[in-house]
Amino acid sequence: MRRLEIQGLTLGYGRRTVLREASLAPLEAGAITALVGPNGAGKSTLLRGLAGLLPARGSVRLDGQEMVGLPLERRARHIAYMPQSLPQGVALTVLETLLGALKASPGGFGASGISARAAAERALALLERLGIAHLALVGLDRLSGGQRQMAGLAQALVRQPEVLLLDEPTSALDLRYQLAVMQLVQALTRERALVTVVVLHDLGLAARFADRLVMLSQGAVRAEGAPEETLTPALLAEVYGVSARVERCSLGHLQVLADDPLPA
Amino acid sequence: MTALSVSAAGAAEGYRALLWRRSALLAALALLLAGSLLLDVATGPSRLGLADVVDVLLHPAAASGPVRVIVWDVRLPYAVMAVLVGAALALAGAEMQTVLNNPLASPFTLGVSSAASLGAALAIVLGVGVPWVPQAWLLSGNAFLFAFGSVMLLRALSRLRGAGVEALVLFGIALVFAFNAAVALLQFVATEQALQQLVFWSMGSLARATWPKIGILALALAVVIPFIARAAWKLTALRLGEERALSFGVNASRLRDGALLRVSLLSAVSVAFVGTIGFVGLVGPHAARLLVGEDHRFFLPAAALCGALLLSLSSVASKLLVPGLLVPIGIVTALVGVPVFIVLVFTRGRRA
Repeated sequence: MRRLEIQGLTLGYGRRTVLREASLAPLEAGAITALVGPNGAGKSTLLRGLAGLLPARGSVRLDGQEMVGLPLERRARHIAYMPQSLPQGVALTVLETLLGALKASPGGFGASGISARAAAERALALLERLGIAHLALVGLDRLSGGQRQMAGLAQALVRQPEVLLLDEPTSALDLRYQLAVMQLVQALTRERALVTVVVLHDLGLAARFADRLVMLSQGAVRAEGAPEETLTPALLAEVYGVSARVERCSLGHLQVLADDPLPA
Repeated sequence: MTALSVSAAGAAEGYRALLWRRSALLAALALLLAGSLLLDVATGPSRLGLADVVDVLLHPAAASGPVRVIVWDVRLPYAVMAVLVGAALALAGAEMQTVLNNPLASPFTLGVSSAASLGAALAIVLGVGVPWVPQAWLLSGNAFLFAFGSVMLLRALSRLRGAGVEALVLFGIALVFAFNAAVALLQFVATEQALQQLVFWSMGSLARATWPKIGILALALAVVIPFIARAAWKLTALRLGEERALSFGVNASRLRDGALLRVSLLSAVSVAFVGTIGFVGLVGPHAARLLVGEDHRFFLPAAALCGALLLSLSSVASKLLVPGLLVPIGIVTALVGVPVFIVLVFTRGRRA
C-alpha cells in the first residue's frame, strides 16, 4: 500500500527555520490529510517542503523511497503541487498549460518523454473528467476564479502524480465552487489512490472532506488525527486563541462555530 | 463564454485547427518578411524595380557592374542586417520577458544598450579598447564586451541566493542609469568631433553592416536557436509561475541562467554592430504574443519574425522619410513601430 512517511522534517527560508522536526503518522493512499492552523503556523511551508521547493532536513519517504535530496525532475514524477494562485496576464489556453506541464520535463516521463499528440489526448481526457473540457481552448485570463482553480488543479493532476499537494484550493472561491473543488479532490483521491495533502483555512470544509487533520501551531505539529479528535474547543482555544463550539449539524457534519477571540 | 458544453473530441479538433492557424500565421509573417527584404533592396537613391532586384539576386554574374555593386555590396548587407538584428533583438527580448516574468524587460530597458554605448564611448573618446582587437573592430569589440558583461552581471546577481526576479529587473534598471551617467560624463569631456561620432553611433545605423559582421551575427543566431528551441516547453511552463514550474520538474534557475546567456550573446552582438536600436526587443515579443499567444513553440519564432519585419520595414522607411537622406534606423524604428503597435493592441482588444 502506497504511503508517505514524514520523519523529523525541518524546513525554513535561508536561516529562518519555520518548521521544526515535524513527524507525522504515515499518510495513506486514498485519504485526504488537511493541514490546518493559524496564519504563520507553517502549513504552506510544510506543503512546499513536501513538494521539494525548500531546502529540508529530515526524511520524507514515499513507499520507502527517500524524497529529500532527490533532484526536482525525479521528485516531480511522484509529487504534484498546486500553489495558491495562477499568475495574471498569461496568454495561454487551459489546454496549453496542461501541455506545458506535461512537456516541460521530458525526462519526467521515461527517457523518451511524451509525444505532443499523446500529451494532448491525456490532457483532454483529464479536462473531461474534471468537467471542464469546454474550457480547453479558453485563455486563462478569461476564466472566472473558480474556473482558474479547476485549471490549476488540472495542471497538477495531468502529470498523474502519486502525491497531490494543494495550497488553499478553496480560498477566493464562492460557496458552490468550494464544494465542487473539494468533492472533486475527494473523488480523485479515492479513484486514483492518491496521497492528498491540502492546506485549508475553512475548518468546516476540513472536517467534512479530510480523513485526517494535522493541526500546526508555531512551526510544530500540535495535534493530528480524525477531525473529531483534533477539532476540540480546548485545542481551538489553545492554537487559534478563540472560544469556539464544535457541534454536529442536522446532517451530521462537524461544524466549528467560533464565538470570540480570547484575550491574548 | 459559451454555454454549450463542447466535448473533449471537439476541443481536440479545435486545438488542431488552432495549431494550423498559428503555423499559417508564421508562414504569412515569413512571406511578409521576404517581401519587405526585397522592397528594402529595391529602395534607395537609384530606383530599381522589384523584378530587377530578384534578377540581380538570382544571377549576380549577369548583372551590370554598378547595379551588382549597389545590390550586393550596399543594399543587401543593410537589408539582411536589418532582418537579423530585428530577429536577434526580439528573440532576446522574448526570452527576457519570460524568464524575468516582466513585460517591460528587453535588452534596451535592462541596460544592454546603455552598456554597449559606454563601451563605444570609451573607444571613441578615450581610445580605450580591448587588447588584440584590430582598430577597425575596436568600437564593435568594446560595445560587445560591455553589453555582454552587463547581462553577465545581471546573471551573476540572479545566482545570488535570495535575489528574486524583481531584484534582477530593478538592478537592470539601475544599470541603465549608471551606464548613461558614465556616457554623459564621457560626452562632457569629449572633443567636439568625438562627441559627434558618439552621438551618431548611439542612434543606431545599419550603414555599419558588412558581410563579415552579418556572418558573425548569423553564426550567433545559429548557435543559440537550437538551445532556445529545446527550452521552449520549459519557458511555456515558467509562464505559470516559478513554483508551479518547479513542481513540474523544471529547474527554473538553470533555465533562467541559460536564457540570460543566450540573451547576452544575441543582444550584445546586435548592438555592437548597429548601435542602439531600442524598440524592437520590447515590441517584437508583444506583437508575437498578441498574434499567437504564449505557447513558446510559436511565440519565439513569431517574436523573431515580428522583430525582423519591424526592423526591415523601418529600414525601408529610413530611406523614404527624408528623400536623399538615410535617417539612422534607431530613430525610425520607434516612429514606425509605435503606430503599428498601437493599432495591433487596439484591434486585438476589440476582438477580445
